[in-house]
Amino acid sequence: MAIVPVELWRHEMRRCGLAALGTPVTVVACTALVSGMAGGGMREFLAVWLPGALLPLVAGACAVGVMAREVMPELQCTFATPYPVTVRRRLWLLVIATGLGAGVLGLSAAAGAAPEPGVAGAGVVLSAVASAAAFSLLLIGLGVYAAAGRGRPGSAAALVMTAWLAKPLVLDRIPLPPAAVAAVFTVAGVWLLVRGSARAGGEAV
Amino acid sequence: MSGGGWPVALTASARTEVTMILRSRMLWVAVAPLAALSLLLALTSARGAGLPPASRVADAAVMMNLLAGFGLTMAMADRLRLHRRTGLGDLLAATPGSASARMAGTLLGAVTVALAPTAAALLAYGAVMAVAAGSPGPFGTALAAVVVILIPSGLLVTTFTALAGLVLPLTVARIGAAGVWAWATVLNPRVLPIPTVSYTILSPGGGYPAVAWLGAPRSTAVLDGQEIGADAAAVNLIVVLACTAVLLTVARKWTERYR
Repeated sequence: MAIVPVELWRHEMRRCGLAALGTPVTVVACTALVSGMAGGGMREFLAVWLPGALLPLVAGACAVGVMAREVMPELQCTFATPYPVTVRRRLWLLVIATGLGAGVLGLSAAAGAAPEPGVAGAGVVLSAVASAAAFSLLLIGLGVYAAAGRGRPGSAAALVMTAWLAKPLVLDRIPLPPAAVAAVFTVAGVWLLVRGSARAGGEAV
Repeated sequence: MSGGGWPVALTASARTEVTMILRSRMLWVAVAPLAALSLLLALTSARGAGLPPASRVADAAVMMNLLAGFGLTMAMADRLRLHRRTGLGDLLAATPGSASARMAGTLLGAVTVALAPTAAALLAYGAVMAVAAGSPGPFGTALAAVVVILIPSGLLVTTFTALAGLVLPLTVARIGAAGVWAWATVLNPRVLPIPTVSYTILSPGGGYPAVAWLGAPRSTAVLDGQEIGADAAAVNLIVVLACTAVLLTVARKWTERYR
């Protein structure tokens, strides 16, 4: 595998845009800061639940934004590097940015999580971070797949929103093991991300 | 189109927008699952078990309005920005119709298509409740809810999101508009230590018309248990429509200034 020069990563960061790469961390950090102003039960909601819920939505919307920012895919298809490879590079950057957001979520959860009887504090934090990270990966994959090819960014973002709403309103009502759900989300997210980037290259349009 | 004035520009823009969106079909693909989710939640909800059927429909209308608003914040951010592509703004400025009417028509057409699946879901729920109750009342409530809840709120959130899409990067506009919609409809000082307009007369959540005119319960989810009258609901509706008009004016001014 060829090593990608640092300058190329910088270029891809510019192509992704500051909004796409900075928003996941910013949203989680803002929620964590607001949680510092709150007290009682509200504090745990703002420090753990809300940033954990917002991170996947923001990641999915940013994935749509990354896909939509490429205004000349035809030109990309004339380059030596296949366009799906370029798309995956940009999405790697978004995944890293989302990972940073998950890191901030971990810090926020560690500071604000109320202790639960029989569950170690680290367990609460790890569960919140893993669940948010897996769901984020799924929504990134969904956003990429829906926005690739002839997909419209607005429609793709609306699809991400529907999936995001469906989790707390439907899926979370069904008693399922969180680890299994996170594993399925991760696998599905990676699959959608790979297939979506291939669609962006015109393979399966 | 000469001499037709603003109605021609409004209807022509709305018709063009509807045709374009229907041809692409993607918006339907995106909003239909959201409408299906709303209908599923309405049919499986146990909240209104002891309520009259018409009240349950009004209660469901507020929930569907909330979810549809979230969908619109994601789908509508680029509606006005599309008209600012290179050369298109100048071309549209050369047409005889006014910019305000053209922009209003564009948003009206987009909202018509985007809200159609949710409106259909609400009417279907109203029809189911009407059949179960053996009376057309619940269906009439659903029809009225489309007019006094879904359409005004949909117009407001679409105009706000489209304006945000003009002045901010689209990704930030989508996320920010969704946050503002949540702030204006569901977030309240019990969960967020900042002032919000949720459950107030300024909220576009649809709780006021639902409770005052359609008989929705004054539950926590709809209106936080407040006592309100028909006058307050009328004021709420006027506020929502006035805010839409103000946002549309701002969008027009912005477009003219930064063409």
